[in-house]
Amino acid sequence: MSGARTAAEWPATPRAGPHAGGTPSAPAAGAPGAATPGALVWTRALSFRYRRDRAALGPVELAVACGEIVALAGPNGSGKSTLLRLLAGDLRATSGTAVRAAGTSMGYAADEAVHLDALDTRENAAFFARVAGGGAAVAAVDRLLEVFGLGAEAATPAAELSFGGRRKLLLVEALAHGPDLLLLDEPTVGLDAAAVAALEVELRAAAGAGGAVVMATNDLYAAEALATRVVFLHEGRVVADAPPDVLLDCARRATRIEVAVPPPRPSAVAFPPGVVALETPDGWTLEAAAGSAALPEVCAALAAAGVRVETLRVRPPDLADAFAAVTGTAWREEA
Amino acid sequence: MSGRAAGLAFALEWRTALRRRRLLVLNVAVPLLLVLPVATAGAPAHHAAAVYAVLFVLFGTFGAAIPLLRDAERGLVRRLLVGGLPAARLLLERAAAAALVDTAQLTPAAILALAAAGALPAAPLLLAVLLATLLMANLLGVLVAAVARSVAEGALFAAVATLLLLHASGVFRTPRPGSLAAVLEAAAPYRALHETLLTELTGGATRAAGGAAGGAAGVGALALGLVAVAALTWLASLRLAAALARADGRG
Repeated sequence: MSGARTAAEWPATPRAGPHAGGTPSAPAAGAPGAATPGALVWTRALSFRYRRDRAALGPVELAVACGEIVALAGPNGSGKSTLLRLLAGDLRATSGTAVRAAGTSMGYAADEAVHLDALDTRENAAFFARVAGGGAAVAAVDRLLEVFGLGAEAATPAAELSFGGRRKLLLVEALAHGPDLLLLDEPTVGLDAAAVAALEVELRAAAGAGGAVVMATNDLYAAEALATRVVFLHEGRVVADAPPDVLLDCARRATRIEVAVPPPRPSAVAFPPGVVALETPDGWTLEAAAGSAALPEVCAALAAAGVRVETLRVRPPDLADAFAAVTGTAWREEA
Repeated sequence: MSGRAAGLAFALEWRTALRRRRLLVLNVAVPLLLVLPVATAGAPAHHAAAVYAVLFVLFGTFGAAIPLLRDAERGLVRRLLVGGLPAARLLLERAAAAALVDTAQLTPAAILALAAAGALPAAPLLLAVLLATLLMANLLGVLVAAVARSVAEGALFAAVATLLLLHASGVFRTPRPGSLAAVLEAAAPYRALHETLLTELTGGATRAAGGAAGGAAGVGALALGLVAVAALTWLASLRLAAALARADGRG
């Protein structure tokens, strides 16, 4: 293969943006746990190790301010859920600190939809709303059940809800008390299109009202559409932290040509100049500055190498390309 | 402790018990079925009292420990704590509510035991002692659940702790006067239940033989036990959240 890109060719972090770099736009870290002005939640050298010293995360410096929707994105095992759980207080840091600003209320939806199975949908939502926000919080429950399409199942025992229904209920429970800070783990998993759209509206409204949202996600489409900031995690470390547009700049906005080939993949293909190839499990993702105009030369190069092409797709760059650009690792290899 | 969450765990326990109707029926029927052969077989009073005491206390301790451990294993306890429910409130309110539920469920069996011995007028006394004993047993159950790391470990801890306390309470054998066991019995929390059962099943003969003083001492020991176990449970709750937070998660 020629033209394969390595991580060394790319900046470790995006070039610009209000939160460019692995360190947020915050004052230099002072004493551990020192407050970050304007932030609802922040970390200082936050690290976590699982038992038997298996490294999971860190050290991480992150600050999330009012009005932000931050997507923690990365492949499985990158540490995004661990970071979210540390921010929620669901895990205790091995070292460093994760701090929420005093008086910040929190809504948290973990990756597993655990409910009170003996109670019905509405009772579950009302119970968790009461626990987090007191009796007044229950007022929003009926509206949210309707918004997420659970209105007709309000009297259904939680144990009888579908997987998607249980995921929706989890979101209702996290949102009902109108928290300042929403921490959501894979919030779009299991949701139908209408519920995803409703979620986007609710999260934008929460951020617009002065709250903040942090979501761990593998759904890069949702991250690109919704987040004001995307934090890429790779092997437990923050490798990029910037708005989606800035990250797409990092991917040079070049057209991608995805080539899938049957195994075994040929060891060497002389792609034309101006085309950079990154290996994927199925073949290559080619970055073509000339866009689709490069297609004839690409096809010729493949034919010359005797490659039998299964599929070939031309598409604009996305956050997966940005991740690959930053880490030198194709998103799908691990995601 | 957060005032806004006051009573939520208590109400949840009650509501859950009422919703699980099959379990509710079983929890009434099974103790009745266990008491029935003993009550109708003409068993010696001290044997019957021991059987009933063991049944009632194990019912309370296991009924508190195992469901709480199951809830912890499936992530519900973690959810409640991260959601804002204070651990001490969760444990103490859950034990209090479960004690009331257990008393309601065991009342038919207790009435049957008394009726078979012709001691039905003693029902209010026995039920009052039973409620206090079940509070003790449930507190012990949630304490065990708070320190155990699995359902199996919890069951083992609950069985060992309960049987030792029952033994110390003189349920299995009467200690020799003046012995260390007799001193221990005076401070053992299940003595009140055993003494009350023994007194009523013997038609008051034990009371006439000085059982009243013993009964008062038993109530005192039970009160002491309640305070001690509640304090231990509160202490355990301080460590519960930390223990959950240390647990392995997924990356």
